[in-house]
Amino acid sequence: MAKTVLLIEDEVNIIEALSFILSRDGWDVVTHSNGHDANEVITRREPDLVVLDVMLPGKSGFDILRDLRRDPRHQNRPVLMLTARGQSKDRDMAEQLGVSKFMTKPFSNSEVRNAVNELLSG
Amino acid sequence: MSVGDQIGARIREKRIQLRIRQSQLAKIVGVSPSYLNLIEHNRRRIGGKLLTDLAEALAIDVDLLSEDGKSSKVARLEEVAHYNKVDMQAESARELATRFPAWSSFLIDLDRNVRSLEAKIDALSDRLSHDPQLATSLHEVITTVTAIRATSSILSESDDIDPMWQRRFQRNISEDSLRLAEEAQALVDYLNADETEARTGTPHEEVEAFLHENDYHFEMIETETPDIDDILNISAIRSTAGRLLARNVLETYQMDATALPLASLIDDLPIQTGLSQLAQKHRCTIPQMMRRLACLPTETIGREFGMVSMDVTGSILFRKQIDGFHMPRFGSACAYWPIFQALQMPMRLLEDVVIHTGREGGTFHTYSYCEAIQDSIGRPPRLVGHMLFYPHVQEAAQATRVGATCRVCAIATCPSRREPSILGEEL
Repeated sequence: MAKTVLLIEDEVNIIEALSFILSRDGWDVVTHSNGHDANEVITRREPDLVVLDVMLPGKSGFDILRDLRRDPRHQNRPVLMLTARGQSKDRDMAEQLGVSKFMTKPFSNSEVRNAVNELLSG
Repeated sequence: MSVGDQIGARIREKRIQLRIRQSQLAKIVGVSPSYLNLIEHNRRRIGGKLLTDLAEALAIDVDLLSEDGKSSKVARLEEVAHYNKVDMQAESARELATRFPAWSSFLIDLDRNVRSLEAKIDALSDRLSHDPQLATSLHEVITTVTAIRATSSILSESDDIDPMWQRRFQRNISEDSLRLAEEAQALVDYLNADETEARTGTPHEEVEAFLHENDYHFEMIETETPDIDDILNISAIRSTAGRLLARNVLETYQMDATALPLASLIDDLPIQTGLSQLAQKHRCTIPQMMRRLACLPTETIGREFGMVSMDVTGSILFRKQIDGFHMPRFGSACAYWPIFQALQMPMRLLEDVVIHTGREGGTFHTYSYCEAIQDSIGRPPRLVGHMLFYPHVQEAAQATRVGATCRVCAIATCPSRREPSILGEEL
């Protein structure tokens, strides 16, 4: 059974492109486009990997990650964070909050595919 | 001795440069502060012994206060040297101006350009770091570029895409490239704004430009009770948000002026006593007294005050700058400003001396105070900090070194540094 990737991103065309390439690699991709109820969706879906944007409507990716790590059910769930904010302080914050991997936009498709492969094969 | 119309301005410029109070200088040369004030504003002609005494008190050649162009150029050269911390004697400046007039003019122009560029760097750096409009705009551009890159890679790297997906991705790229063009154009327009537009780019900047044009003083409000809309209608503020912010400032000004009319302060001018005593004497709050002092004309109160107010998030709500004490517009101010200590100790007035290490910095006496405003029952009070400051003339035994904001601060070893400075080393 294919592993599940939950893609939380609010930009529709990025969702389509990433869903396409990850599905083609054999992952089962589900998507969600707002931060407000993202933690509930993660709990319900129990994905093998969360691909998380930082700037989301309703709740930021940092807040979602913080709440995720406070929940014993999600403390070890891999999270790949994608952001247009490439400042070192954002990377530091993501690492402090327990991100598995941090990637800045604009990224290449192969970078995302490699990161997903790495996190799901671990 | 013949005198010109601008001697007063030169006296004032030199006095401020030396951080001498108007009342101090008046006492030294034996005239009243109000008479010196008239001289400094070129409303009284001056010559003879008084001019000589003033030149002596200001440690400047009396000729440099006169009108001729050569002396004015010497004074400018001295200023260039002072600004760039070059130890140049008055005689060598005079010699330079006399022997190499064209080079002297070039040096003066160069210095003017450098200062102008430094001011722009400060403003742009501040904007790049903290302007929410710019941050949002850049975020939109990067997001759209990411979408285009991801989609175009799929099309260029795959030969076996279903035609339905192919058409879909082509449509997405078309939409995104159109969006990118619009976002890029908006960004370029924003960054290309001329100096005036750059200064008034956000509602806060718009209001600040309006206050600056009026020297933070509204005679109309001092003498009558005008309709705030009448003042706003003749201002250059165009945005709705800017008008709202300016209205708040003017309404507070009106309340302060009613509670503390200028006439009631006349006996205390020029201001000499401490802030706390002054507020007690006039039975007003400390923030009210701070705002009044910051907004009254320097020549009336005998001292130039700067002021900043901010909430607990560090967002600057009001800012009046004075020479030497540079402040960022969008928060992220120096963590060592005494106002941050005050914000941790509501209702306590703190008095400190700080050395601002900016290029044109100096030593400043500061009063900081945090008021707790109870907007509604059942909610925690809203804390607002205020810091009033003015050039400190006396020798400061203990003074804290501060900057404007990390990005343009040169204190390399500061333990509170949040990000590297764009300035290489301490100036």
